[in-house]
Amino acid sequence: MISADLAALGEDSRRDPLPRERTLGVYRDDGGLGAAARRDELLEQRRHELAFMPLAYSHVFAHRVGRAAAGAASIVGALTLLFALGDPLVSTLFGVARVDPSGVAALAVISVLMTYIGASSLGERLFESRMRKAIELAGDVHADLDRLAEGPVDVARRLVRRIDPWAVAFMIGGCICVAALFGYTMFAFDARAGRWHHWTRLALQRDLVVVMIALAIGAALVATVGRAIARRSESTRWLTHGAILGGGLILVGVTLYYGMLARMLLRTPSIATRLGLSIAGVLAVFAIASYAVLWWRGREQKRLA
Amino acid sequence: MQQERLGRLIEPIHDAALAFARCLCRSRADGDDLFQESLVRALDKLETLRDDNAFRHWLYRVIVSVHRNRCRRSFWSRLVPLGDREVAGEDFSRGVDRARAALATLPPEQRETIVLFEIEGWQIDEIAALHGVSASAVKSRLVRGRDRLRTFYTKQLGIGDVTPILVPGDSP
Repeated sequence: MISADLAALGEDSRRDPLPRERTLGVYRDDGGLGAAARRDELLEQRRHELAFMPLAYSHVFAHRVGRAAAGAASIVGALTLLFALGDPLVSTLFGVARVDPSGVAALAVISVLMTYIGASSLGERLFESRMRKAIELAGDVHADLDRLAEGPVDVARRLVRRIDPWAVAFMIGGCICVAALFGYTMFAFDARAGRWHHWTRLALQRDLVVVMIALAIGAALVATVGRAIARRSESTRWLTHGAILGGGLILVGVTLYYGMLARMLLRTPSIATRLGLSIAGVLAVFAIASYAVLWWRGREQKRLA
Repeated sequence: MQQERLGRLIEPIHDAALAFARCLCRSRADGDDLFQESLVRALDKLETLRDDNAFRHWLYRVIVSVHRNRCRRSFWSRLVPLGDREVAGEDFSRGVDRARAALATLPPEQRETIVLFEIEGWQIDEIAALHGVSASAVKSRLVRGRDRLRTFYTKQLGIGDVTPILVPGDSP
């Protein structure tokens, strides 16, 4: 009897085998009531998650988008103006030659602020739409289950993390570019005002190369910091040390001192000195901007935690 | 890519492996779940399989491993009068139900051995290779499993006339 029963069991087990496409898929039941019930339960759970999700995610994301956009706008604007100032034809044609340092400063502040406000508002809308999409049903039960497997909080975390390196890198890069533009504008303004009458337009063009070399060094530093943040590495922590801020301020003082000295003595500094001053200026701005941006980022991370 | 490979390899043994999983469990639905879980594990580990010719044994080993994990997971079910141990009140008029209930009383390794030998028709050395034990250990499991089955049939179901299952090489 046992043998007969076992044989019957074998027969019964071989009866109605499951189709291969179903056993090899993720779900065994093909969109039946069970899957729909799971989907509805998960949807309810995700809606609760969204309702109780801290607003910090939305705020931080919007501000990071704003910072990234403002930084990018600063970089693009500053580089464009730098090239326009360095090129005699362009500067004459578009009236850039008449721009003075205070005009550049005002233009930079206004455009950066406008970009920041506009981009933050766009960031908020983008966040809202992504959250809405995270709990939206497409109609197909399994597609819904796949999408709902990731909750709104996970989506929000991913958004905030993805924008993080861009916000940091563009912000620091923007500060460096605006500082370089400001310094170069002062120099160009002096040259064109006739204070250093022996400087020709060719010298202006030559000095643009000096500024570009310093900016390239700055870009390399910024890329390194952005990459470290994208990899969630702790190697950028030393940039938030107080000594970095102190060092940056000292470098700013030294650069300004030598710059003022050159202006007062009405003497053209050598190319090596000019290059050294440009690099020191970029490093100083990098140190101060990194300290400020990463300190602010640390505060945001605490809010998110 | 691995899913395609799994689909290709499983084609000839799909139904037999599914039937094996169904025999190991208390119900067909549980067997389907076990098979599905085993396939997910197989897909996850498929890159560790170097020789495609060894796929059959490898998949059965995965099923056995998942089955044992599930048995271990539900240890608490032995403490309550539900599930595998429940006999009173069940309808045993069908041979299939009797066989399932009897197999459920066996420890996992004896259950697997009985199913592979009696139902799937595997040879002793194949089962020994699958479980990584000696042939005599497999025979011992068969004998002990058979004894337990007989005990279940006589004591729990009250069936006196039970033909013993014979292992090749044993004297009747």
